[in-house]
Amino acid sequence: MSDDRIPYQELQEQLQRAEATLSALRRGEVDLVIGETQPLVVRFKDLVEEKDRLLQETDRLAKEWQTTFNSVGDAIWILDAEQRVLHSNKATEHILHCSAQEVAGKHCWEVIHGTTKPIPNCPLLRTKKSLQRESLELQLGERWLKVTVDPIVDADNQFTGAVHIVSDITGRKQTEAALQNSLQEKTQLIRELYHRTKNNMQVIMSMLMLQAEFTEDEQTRDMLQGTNSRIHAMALVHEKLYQSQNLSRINLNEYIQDLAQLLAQTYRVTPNKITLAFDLEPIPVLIDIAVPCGLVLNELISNALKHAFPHKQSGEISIRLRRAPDNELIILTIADNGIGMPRNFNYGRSETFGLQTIVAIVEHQLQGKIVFEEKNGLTCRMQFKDSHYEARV
Amino acid sequence: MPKKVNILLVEDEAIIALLLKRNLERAGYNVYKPLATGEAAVEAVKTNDVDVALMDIRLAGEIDGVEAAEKIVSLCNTPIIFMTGYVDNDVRERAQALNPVAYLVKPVTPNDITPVIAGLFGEGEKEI
Repeated sequence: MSDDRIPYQELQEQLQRAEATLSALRRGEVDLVIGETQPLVVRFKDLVEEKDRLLQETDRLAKEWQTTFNSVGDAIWILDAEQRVLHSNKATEHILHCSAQEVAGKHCWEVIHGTTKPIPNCPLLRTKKSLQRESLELQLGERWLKVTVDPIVDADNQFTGAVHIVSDITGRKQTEAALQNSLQEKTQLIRELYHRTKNNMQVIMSMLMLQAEFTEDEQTRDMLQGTNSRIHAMALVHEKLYQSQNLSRINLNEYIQDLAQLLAQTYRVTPNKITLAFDLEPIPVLIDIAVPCGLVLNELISNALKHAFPHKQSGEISIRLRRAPDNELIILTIADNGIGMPRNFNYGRSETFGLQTIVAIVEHQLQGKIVFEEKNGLTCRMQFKDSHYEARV
Repeated sequence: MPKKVNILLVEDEAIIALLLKRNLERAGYNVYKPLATGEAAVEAVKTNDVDVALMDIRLAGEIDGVEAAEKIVSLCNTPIIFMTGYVDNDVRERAQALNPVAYLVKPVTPNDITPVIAGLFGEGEKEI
């Protein structure tokens, strides 16, 4: 027996393949058999079917794409490298009142603006340059449109066209305008409220001043003057709020300066005799901080103006405002170089209205600390947080 | 002989008007009965010798203080002092267009007003 004999197992397999091929030939599934031991089976019919299947699939995908393209509510155009419309979707008719035939081959500016050249700030030209999405909102009559352009680039990142989308944003713009109007109305309302509060305070002040004029008692007049001054300090906060942009905060530094100058005017201070020195860091604060702060300052500055420089003595009242480095505390220092407090004056036990008010406001309302020091006059240093209040307007 | 300065006070808040009138009179000026509307102010300058008008801007009535002041200036070129809580730019611009003597922001006290009038006419009396 020679060694080139085919093993039985392999012979069986070849026989089975040959029978299968013959059966396939008989059934018409195979059109051509090439070779004997390892035959190549050619199926022409399958190739035709595959081609048909691929064509059907291509057709299905094209229809699906077209359906999707036409289902989008924005007018979408595919532009060529010359920025002419190659394809447009159905929404073009609805948004721009043009048919696909009317826009085909035209430049977008011809269709949208009716111009022969691109408009200034044209998003398409910007996209061509930046190769990024660019957009523009424009008003056409009573309608608002948003044009968004995305670039189409080749493998070398060269501009070969663009996707040009036009969205009707009239509804959004109308909502925005309504919101803006509503906001303006509310802003106006709040300003009006501040205005009326300040006016009412002026009426109260006028009443107190009138009452003071009708009384002969000097102590009563002083009390009325003191109350008047306190109300004025509060009214000034409302004036600042009325003028402020955000309606909830005022600049404490500006307020302090105005209040001190107002008090100097009220107490008819001769400018060359008593000078006011300011070293104030800009700190915006809420009304909840500004009003108590103003009341304390009113007491301290009034006190210094009335008592620190007797017998037309000259001197200086300095006010320093800082936010501590930890950003938590506001530190306010009011110092004068006057005669200081009377001997044996006990700050902790004082029953004067002014001092009790100061301590109550700083410790209770502002939840801070206040310290008095006597050295070349009187220095009052207080510190408090402004974080325990939140904006309510 | 010096003649007292005549002031037309237009302010719709009675208490404020009363206080200002008393203080201005004490300072030596003659203050007509305060008026609450711009319309009344315009009529008043036609029949009274007004040397200066002290005008609030927000008033009772149809016209505001600026509009009333415009009519008063065109009728008799009376010097105007505005006093108002309004600090809006548009109101201020309208008021400034009339070239007023002063534009005082409320709260206004007699101490704010008397130096302005004194600067205009001297202490309560003017030469005629």
